[in-house]
Amino acid sequence: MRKVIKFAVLPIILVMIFFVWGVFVVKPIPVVLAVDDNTSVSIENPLPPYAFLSNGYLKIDISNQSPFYPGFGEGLSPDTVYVFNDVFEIYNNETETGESVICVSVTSPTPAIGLFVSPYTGTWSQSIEFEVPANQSVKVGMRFDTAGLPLGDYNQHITIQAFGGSCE
Amino acid sequence: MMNKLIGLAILLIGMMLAVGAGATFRYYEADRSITVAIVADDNEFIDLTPAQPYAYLNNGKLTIEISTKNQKYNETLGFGRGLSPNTTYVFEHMFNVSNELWENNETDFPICVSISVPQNKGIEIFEGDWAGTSSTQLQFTVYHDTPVSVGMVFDTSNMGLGDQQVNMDIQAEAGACGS
Repeated sequence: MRKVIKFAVLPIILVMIFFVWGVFVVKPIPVVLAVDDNTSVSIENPLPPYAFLSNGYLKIDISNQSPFYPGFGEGLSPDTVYVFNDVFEIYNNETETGESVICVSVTSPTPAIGLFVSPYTGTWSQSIEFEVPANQSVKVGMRFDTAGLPLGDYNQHITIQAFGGSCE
Repeated sequence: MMNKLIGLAILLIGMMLAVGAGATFRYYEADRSITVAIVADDNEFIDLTPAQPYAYLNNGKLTIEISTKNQKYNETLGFGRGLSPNTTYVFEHMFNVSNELWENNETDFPICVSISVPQNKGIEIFEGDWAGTSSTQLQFTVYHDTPVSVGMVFDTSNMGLGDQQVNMDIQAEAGACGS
């Protein structure tokens, strides 16, 4: 009987170690969930025609490769500035995020791509931060400055980060 | 011993619950791609298309050039090299402005286009056919599939021989003008 109990306790301890390891090493577990954004937490919503979901991910495509390309207007010309309100929105679905407010930052690596909270009032930034209350959304606009860009495709990334809680 | 076992089991269940309950949103990070095709003026959203040999696309940018540097100048054919001093030339339909924004695919999405040239540089602009008036400021509404042509007046009064160069500024805003 003692042996049986010993053998029973051993796997329990192993499972416990696994969970303890899981809690303290893989921590924070929500990050793992959060990175897999499209299965559990989805906060980005494209607002076509210039943004859409590509394999479940937000993509901004201003070229004739976009599924929303209507057969005219193939892109932006060099040395021009284009400002688009409402390219995508960040939505705080409280049942998914479990947060009454989230703090969101969106960052662009280049001044060629400026960001602002819609509507455009003349100011923009490479990095914006705003709060999204529960079950509400904030629309993000973009400003493209093609000064000095050669003809051809211009590819960039923006980074979207969100934290539970207010921005303070 | 049995109690210990039960105690451990309860602890384990408790920890699993704690882990499960911890799976709420804390942090999110995603890189999202942006592709912008950089294209010539006659293919872009607010499209500027040359409509006269004096207008052409220079590295994708609309350029109006009345000189021997224009690609369409042909010396062997004895083309004119430029405009003489103290003359006025009127060119209708120098270039067209069209509205190729994708928003037009679903609804009417007019734009209000404002074009300006510097004052007192001998250049004025006008919309459509020449009706005797021109200005350094021009504003008109452009609907999809209805390009608006812009003409130019060159008044070389009191100008010396040599090259004259100015920049034209073009702006467009969503919505019909005056709306």
